[in-house]
Amino acid sequence: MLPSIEWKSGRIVIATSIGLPQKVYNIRRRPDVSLLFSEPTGSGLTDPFSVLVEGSAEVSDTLFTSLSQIDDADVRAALDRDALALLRRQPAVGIYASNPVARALMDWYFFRLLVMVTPRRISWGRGNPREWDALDVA
Amino acid sequence: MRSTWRKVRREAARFESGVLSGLGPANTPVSVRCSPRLDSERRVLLIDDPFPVVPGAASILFHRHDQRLWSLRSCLISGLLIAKGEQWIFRPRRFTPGMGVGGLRSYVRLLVNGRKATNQYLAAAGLPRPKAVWEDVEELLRLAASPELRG
Repeated sequence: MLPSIEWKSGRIVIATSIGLPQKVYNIRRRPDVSLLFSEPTGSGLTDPFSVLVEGSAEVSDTLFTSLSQIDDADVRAALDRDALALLRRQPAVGIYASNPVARALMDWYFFRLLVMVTPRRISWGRGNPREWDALDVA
Repeated sequence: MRSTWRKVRREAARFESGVLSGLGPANTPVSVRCSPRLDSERRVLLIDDPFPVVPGAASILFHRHDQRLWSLRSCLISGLLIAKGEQWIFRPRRFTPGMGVGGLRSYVRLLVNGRKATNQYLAAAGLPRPKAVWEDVEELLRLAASPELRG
């Protein structure tokens, strides 16, 4: 999962494949979510603190297969920026598109829905989560 | 149950920490990183870390990748979180293998389950199968590989 921050609205945007739909079904049943950022491998950071985002999420009904199909320019820009950053670190994902067989088998990976998370509370720190700093944002 | 525990024991031992998710005091989801210990006699995981979660249904996600975000290995263990004094006891009920678990089989599983879930989603939503826009994927890959952007 690749969460992107759309700075203009302060929401977190995730483009999730319908081939891995459990989070979509969960959110449609109950929109409360939490996102934990606690493992920095590959981020370039050393010993960062952890961040927990609690909030509510909604899932688009509209399926997209290319970022160019997303109407909201700010959301599109956030996803585009982070997709590029991801591919620069993880070029191996290109195998999904590398030949006709891979494309036929993995096309579903690119059938995506937008998940928009509106943060309600953000907390951060190290060690005991009960002692973390927190900010209510909604 | 014995089979579930065998899988839990094998995979949990590979990780130093995992992410425990459950409900917090406000009855909304929270997630925290923890370092569970195996108790093979009772077939439970023991968690000493202090958490803002309440007893009840919970899950532990074990997940890792390398610096290139590749070589994934993950699994999700669903179960019941029980408070016992200052300690938590996590009783596994279900083991869901993720990428890397079972070697090559995990890729086959991803492929088969991904296609199946896609077909089910499209059928339930009454949607035709869309077409991936490979030219856009290629363009992103080309941009990502360009020396100017690699920095």
